[in-house]
Amino acid sequence: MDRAMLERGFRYAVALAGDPVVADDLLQEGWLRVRRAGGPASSVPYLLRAIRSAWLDGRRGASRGLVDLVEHDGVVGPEAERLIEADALWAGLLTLSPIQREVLFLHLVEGWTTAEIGERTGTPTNTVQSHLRRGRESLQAWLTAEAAK
Amino acid sequence: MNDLDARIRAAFEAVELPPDHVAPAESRRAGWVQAAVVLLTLGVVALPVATRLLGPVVMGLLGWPAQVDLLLPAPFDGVPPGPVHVTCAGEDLGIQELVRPGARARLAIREPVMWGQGCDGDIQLAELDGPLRLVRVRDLGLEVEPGQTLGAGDPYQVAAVDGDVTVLRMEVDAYVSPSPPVSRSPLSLVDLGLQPSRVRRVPSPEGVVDKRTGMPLGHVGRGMAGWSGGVVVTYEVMSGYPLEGRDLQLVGMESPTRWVLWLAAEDAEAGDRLEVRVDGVPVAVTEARKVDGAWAMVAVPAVEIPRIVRGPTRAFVLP
Repeated sequence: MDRAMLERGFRYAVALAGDPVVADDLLQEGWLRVRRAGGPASSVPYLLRAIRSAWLDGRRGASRGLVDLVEHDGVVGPEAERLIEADALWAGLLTLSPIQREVLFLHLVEGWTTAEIGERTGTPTNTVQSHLRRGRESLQAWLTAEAAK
Repeated sequence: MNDLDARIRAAFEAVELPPDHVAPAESRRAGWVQAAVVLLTLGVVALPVATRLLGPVVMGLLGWPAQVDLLLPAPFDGVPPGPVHVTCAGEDLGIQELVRPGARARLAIREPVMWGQGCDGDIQLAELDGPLRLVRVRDLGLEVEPGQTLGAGDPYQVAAVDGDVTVLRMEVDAYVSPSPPVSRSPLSLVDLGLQPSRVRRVPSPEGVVDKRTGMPLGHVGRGMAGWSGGVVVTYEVMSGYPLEGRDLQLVGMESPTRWVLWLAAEDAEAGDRLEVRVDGVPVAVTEARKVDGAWAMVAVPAVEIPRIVRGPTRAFVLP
């Protein structure tokens, strides 16, 4: 697995987790799952699916609605600050839900269509389009509010 | 793509994989190369040492039983058998099982990576002394006397000096985010210029097993992520599982030395200082991060987990 592919997996994991340290772990776990399953080592969608699966498992693992260490709860921690240092827009991206960030990433960075995102994440296309629209709207609203400060 | 989309894309692409990220396949190759270089460099004289260091690692890679008995140096007399917190060459190695105390104490080690760090001769064992913790440090590297406090504002106090072993006393809370006392290892891969760049640990599975019934109370997932600098890098995640019918729920690890759990706590509110007691005996003071009814989410030193899961545990609000 080349570094460019790992880089794409890492960015996807960051989009989900909103934290580079958690993303690092998710990438490792995703890679291990690909390897254990004997999956194609050069398939980006396969790796991203494995990362997504690892992320979802992490959320389920702390169910009972009590707490989820993986889930970003709106508080920007010291590790998430690293993202804002990389690009100030991350302060706005971190206000979005993980799913909204995921859809934005897959559509705008990976270039997947909403139909492809829906098919590969098991989400109805209409829902994907809704996440995409709301993500953009929320981010635009955040930018407007920031500009007014 | 409009301007907003372009900015979003740029933000995502500004995130870069950490340069020290261990890509398993790459690092394994690199590890083999480095290991080969080390062996060649050391030559015949040091070959037994290298074999000793790397042998269990290779065993671990091959999937053989990873448990290795490590004979401890003599100074650990008097440490009772049971879970002990081990650090080695500055690396937190979590909870291990001391199976035979005494002059030739025996420590059951379940992680091959531990051997790869030259642990013998540089092991610290922790035990509780009321609310304080005693830590024995071999080769502290400083001339100290009993009663002396180390560093300005440093919580470490020298309890005793016995030859090359220094016994330090420190508060529990001070210990959980250690920078470990200075110690020197007679030989480790670090000394050879090889650094484990990514080692994540959680206490061994014993830490989440009910010793009375043998029933597992939690789950420790474990994977081997590859090599880094000639050291096997393990990757471990603990998932939280509800402990049905019990008075706590393990949630996960905040760091290798601090685990997060929900505890039964009456009348607690978020932000309250809580005293965690097992069988009525205080083991830690912590803070209620969240409260859900009669439950409080707290972080406690990982070293206390084996005690906490073995007995009735409650958190009480401190005045």
